[in-house]
Amino acid sequence: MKILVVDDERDVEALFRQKFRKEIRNEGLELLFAFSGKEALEILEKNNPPQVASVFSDINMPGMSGLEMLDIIKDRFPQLRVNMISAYGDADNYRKAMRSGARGFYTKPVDFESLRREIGEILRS
Amino acid sequence: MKHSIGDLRCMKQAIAVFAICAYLLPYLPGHSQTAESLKADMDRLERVPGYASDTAYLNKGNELGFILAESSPDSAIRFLDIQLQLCREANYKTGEAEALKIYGNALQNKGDFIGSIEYYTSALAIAKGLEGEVLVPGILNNIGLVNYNLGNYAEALNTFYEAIKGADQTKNSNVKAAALNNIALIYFELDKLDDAKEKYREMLAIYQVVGNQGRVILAYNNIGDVELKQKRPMEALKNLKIAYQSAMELESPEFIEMTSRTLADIYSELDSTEKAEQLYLQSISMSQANGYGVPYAHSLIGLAGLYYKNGKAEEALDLGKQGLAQAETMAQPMLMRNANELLSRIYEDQGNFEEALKSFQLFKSYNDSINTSHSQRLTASLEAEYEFSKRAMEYERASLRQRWVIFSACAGLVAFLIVLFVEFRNKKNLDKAYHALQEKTNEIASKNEALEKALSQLKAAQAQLIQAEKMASLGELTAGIAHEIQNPLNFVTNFSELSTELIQEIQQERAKKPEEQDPQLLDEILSDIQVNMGKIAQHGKRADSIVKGMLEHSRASTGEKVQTDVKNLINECLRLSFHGMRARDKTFSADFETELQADLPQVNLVAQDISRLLLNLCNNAFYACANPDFRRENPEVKPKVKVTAKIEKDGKSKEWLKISVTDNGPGIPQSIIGKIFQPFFTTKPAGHGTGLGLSLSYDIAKAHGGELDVKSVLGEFTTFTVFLPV
Ligand SMILES: [Mg+2]
Repeated sequence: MKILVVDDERDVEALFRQKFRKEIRNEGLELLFAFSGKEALEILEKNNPPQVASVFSDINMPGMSGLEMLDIIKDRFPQLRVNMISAYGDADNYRKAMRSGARGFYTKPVDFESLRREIGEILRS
Repeated sequence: MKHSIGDLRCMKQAIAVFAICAYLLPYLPGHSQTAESLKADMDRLERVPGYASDTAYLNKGNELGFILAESSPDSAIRFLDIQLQLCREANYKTGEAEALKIYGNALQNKGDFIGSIEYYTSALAIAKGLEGEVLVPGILNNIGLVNYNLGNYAEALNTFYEAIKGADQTKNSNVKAAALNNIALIYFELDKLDDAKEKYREMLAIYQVVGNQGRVILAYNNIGDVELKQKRPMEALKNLKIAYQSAMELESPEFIEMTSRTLADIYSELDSTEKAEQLYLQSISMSQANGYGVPYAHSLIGLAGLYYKNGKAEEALDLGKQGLAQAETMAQPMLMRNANELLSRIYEDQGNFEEALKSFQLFKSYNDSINTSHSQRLTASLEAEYEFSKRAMEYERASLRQRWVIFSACAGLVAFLIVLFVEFRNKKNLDKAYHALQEKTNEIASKNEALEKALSQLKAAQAQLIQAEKMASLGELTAGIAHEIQNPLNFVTNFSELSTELIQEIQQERAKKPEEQDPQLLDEILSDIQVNMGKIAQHGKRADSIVKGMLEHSRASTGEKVQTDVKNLINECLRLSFHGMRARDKTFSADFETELQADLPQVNLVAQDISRLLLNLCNNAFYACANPDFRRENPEVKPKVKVTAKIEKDGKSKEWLKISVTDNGPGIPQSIIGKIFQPFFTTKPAGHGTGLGLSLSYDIAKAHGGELDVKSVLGEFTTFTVFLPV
């Protein structure tokens, strides 16, 4: 089961790999990382439908923002689950993400327990 | 063609009073003796024994010296060395003062301004010791002219006002008029057009009384020129018609040329193409025939502008090139600026972008140097004006007092006679005069106070504005800074929690029986903990440097230059600016990239100031390309800011750090590109900018001995480039 994490901060990769060590080792979770919206879309477009079960994306990134990327994903792959992660837990970003069809909205610093529940659900489905 | 500062050197003339007593340089050559006839007179006088101490002979020598100083300064100096010695041996003080002054003229004509001031000062010292001090005002006027030529406008104005004071006392209306003209000239250059006009009018009135027709024409011409600059061409036309008419009556080629040139400028402004063309052609042929170099350049460029306006690009190009060459020969920056501006437009229309760019760059560099010197002069004159108002009032007060003494003496005499008859009425009269004086004194005192108050208010307001701009730009940054700090702090929190969890896992693993323990897992966890500790330290330092950077920005600049890593500085500013924009405007999105020379050396600069400059440029760039109207109209353009930095050598192989900030926003219209570095100029809606950002940035670049430049193509891009000496 592949999950794609999108964030312009490269250390997010080390963080996620350690946080989900057990799931990676024991439950068949495979994490993919992209460091910009553009890179994420390239990964998703390699296969149609994409071989990714869910996307977790930062909003604030140079170039294409997470919200712009969300619109494009929802346009091309309406079935794909996308969760947004933002440093600003403001109502504006939240409404926008939800209106564009995001499944969840997390604020930074991320509460990894709720993230783990969400990923657990994806793994079991 | 608009009149601008440099045009005046040809349009208006500084008037020097080279006087032997009240002798004034006339415009018609026939009025004065020629050098040949003077030499003949002197040869004749030399036959009489003891001629060397004859004042008539020495006066002739000074007249000859004066003509030589104008036509051949070098031979004048050789001649005047002997003349001075003769005057001293004869103990003829007036002649000595005169000779020293003419010596000063010769040096001034050679361009040796410092030397000329020395001679004028010696002349002044002697003239002040002479009965009546009649020579003093004329010498002061000439000293003022040297200061004017050196660009010391404040000093020049002071001296001209002194000259007027002296001219009033010695009743020398020619010197007074000359000094008024010179004051007006300075006011004109400082854009104080109403003041300039007032002085020209005073000068006109004097020359009308004296009956100097040439100078009357000059006055009308200059008043018209001021009105043209004030965008009142109809009034200007009225005055120039009078001037042109008199010039024709006087049959003086110099004045006919001058007035037809000004008339041509006026008709061009009024779009009376045919009249303007005919008059420019007249000015061109007369200037060429008589060797009037600056007017020749002015009219060539004026006519080129006229042709361009009327769609005759070929003729305009040809004339514009000739005009530029002539302006270069005469070293006239304003004319060179105007010619290059015109040529770059013509080349651009013709699609010759390479030449257009060359001309535009020249235009830009002349424009910059003119603007810089103009603003320096404005500052100096503001201070000078304050000084004058004080001096003028003291002078007024002193002369009132003097009049009061004379008046009361007379009144006393009359009173003595009348007191026998009407004691009462006399007292009343005196009281009235006394009260008038008292009132005037009070008025002066209160004016003085008001001026002093206005000046100190002005200074306080200026300081406040600079602080406000700094705070506003800091405010713009806080959002970006908050975001920049949030990210590393999150990592510190995450990685430390993670490490705690990992340690628990180790403990759990150790709690197992030895044979069930997985040594490979333990190794893996331990190496993860080590990585995490590194990450914590790394992100802690990152937050630390952001806070330091912010403090740096808010602190007053120490003005101290330190070796600075330019790459870091650029990256920091770019990221801060980007996150600031993003945090303040949720809909904002833009991309940025850098292209920094790999081996960029450390550069000695005031880091706070340069980071302020870069932040301003980045903020403007992001603001421009995120412009919502532009994005709606050009949905295919992805907003992007690019920063490049490299070391470049100029023609003199001096090294410069060149940093460019480019955005692909709407660009800056030609009509306002010349104003963007002016204080308080902003295109942002009210409350969105102080309008000081670029002006302060410009000052910072200049303070580093550098330059700040802008290039823009509408609908395509804007690039700001800062050059800093390495
Ligand atoms: Mg981010």
